[in-house]
Amino acid sequence: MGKIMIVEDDVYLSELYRMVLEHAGFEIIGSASNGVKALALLENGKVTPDLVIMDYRMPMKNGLETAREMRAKKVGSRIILATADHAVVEGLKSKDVDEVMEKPFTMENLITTAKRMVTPRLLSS
Amino acid sequence: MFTVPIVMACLVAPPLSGIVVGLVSSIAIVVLGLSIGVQPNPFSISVNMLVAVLVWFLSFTLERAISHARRNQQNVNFYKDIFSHDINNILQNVKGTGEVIGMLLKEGDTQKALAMVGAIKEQSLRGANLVLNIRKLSEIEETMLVPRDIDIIPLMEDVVSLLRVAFPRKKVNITFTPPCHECIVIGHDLLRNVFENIIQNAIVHNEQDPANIEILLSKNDRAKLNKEDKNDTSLVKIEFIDNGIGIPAEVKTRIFQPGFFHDRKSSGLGLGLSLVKNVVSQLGGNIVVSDKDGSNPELGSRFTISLKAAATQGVDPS
Repeated sequence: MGKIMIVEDDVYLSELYRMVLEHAGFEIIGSASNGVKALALLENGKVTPDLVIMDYRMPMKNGLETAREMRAKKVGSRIILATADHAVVEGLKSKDVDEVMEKPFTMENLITTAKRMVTPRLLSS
Repeated sequence: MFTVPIVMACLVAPPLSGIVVGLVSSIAIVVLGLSIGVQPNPFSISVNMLVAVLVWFLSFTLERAISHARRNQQNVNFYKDIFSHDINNILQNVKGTGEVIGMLLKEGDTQKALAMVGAIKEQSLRGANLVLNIRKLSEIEETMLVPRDIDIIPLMEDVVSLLRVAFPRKKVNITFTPPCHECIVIGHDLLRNVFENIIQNAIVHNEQDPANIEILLSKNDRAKLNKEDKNDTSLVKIEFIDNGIGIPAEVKTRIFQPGFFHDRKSSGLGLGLSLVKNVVSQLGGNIVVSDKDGSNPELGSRFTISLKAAATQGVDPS
C-alpha cells in the first residue's frame, strides 16, 4: 500500500504505530528515535519512504527541524508531524510539513491520514 | 517638597539603591534650597526621611512578592508543560492500544489481544510514576527532608526485583551483586525514587534486547565529593551502567537541570533526573553521567552517584 518510516522517541508509541500500520497493509521500511538518526537513514536514499510519520518533540533534533532539513536535502517523502503539545500545533503548520496531528489521536485517524498522504504518490508513480 | 523625588527614586530604582538615590536627591534639593536662600524645615525633612524609609520597605516587600510570583509562574509553566506533553503521550498509548485490542478481539485473536493488555498496565505505571515524581519534586521544593541512616543493599534489591517484572513487553536484565551484606549511607525516603528513576530510564531509553543494567557498589574511605571540599569524606559509590541509547555530550551538560525538560528539543528524561539531582544534592552527595565505555555515547551510559557513608557501618563494601 505504501512505504512508511516512523520517527518517534517514545518506544511504546513507535511500536504501536508499527503494529497498526502494518496491520493496515503499509510496509514499515525504517524507524528512528530522533531526527539525527532519521536524517542519517534518509541521506543518500538509504531508505526512500512515501511517508514519514514523525514526533515533534524529540532529543537532539526536533521534528520540524528534521522536516526542514529533509526538504533542504530534497527528500520527497510526505511528512506527518505528531505532537502532544497543543500550544505548538498552529506553529507547526508549514510548507515543510504535509499534516500536523495532535495527540492523542485515534489509530483509525492515523491510518486514514496515512492512506490519504500515500495514495496520490502511488497513483502518480 | 522632597517626597516626590524620594518616592520616584525608590520606585524606579531597585529597593536598596532606591533609598540611597532618594536620600542623595533630597540632600541635593536641600543644598540647592540653601544656595538660593530657602531655609529647610527640619520637621518636613524628618517626614520626608520617614516616607523614604517606608517607600523603601514597601518596594522591597513588593519586589520579593513579585519574585515569588514569578517563581510560582515558572513552576506552573513547568508542570503544565509536563502534563500537556507526557500525559498526552501516555493517553495516546492507552487510546491506541485500546483500539488495537478492540480490533484484535473483533478478528477473534484473543491471545494477541490479551498480550496487549500488558501495554496498558505499563502506561498506567508510567502515568502513576509521572504523577508521583511531580509530587515528590514539589515536596522537595517546599520542605527539606530529614536525612537518616539507610542500608542501601536491601533497598536496591527491592527496587531491582520490582523493576525486573514491571516491563512485560521488554526483556530486562538487571544485575546487582553487592560485595557486602550491609552498606549504610546518609539518605532519606526519596533515595528509593532516585534508584527507580535511573533504572527505569535505562530500561525505557534502550533499544537493545535484552536491556542490560549493571549496578556496582564500592566505597572510598578518603575521597572528596568535589573540588571545593576541604576534608576527605567516606563515600559510597553506586554506578548504574546500561546498554541504552546513550546521552550525547551536549545533553549531558544539561540533563539534570530542572528547566531541561522545558527545552523543546528534549524528551521525557528531564523530570526524573532533576528529581534525582535534587535528592542527591540534599543529601550532600553528587551525581555525574558519563558514557558506558568512556568515549562512545551510543554504546550506553553510566550514572555514578556518590553518597556520604554513615558513621556507623557494618561490613564495608570493598
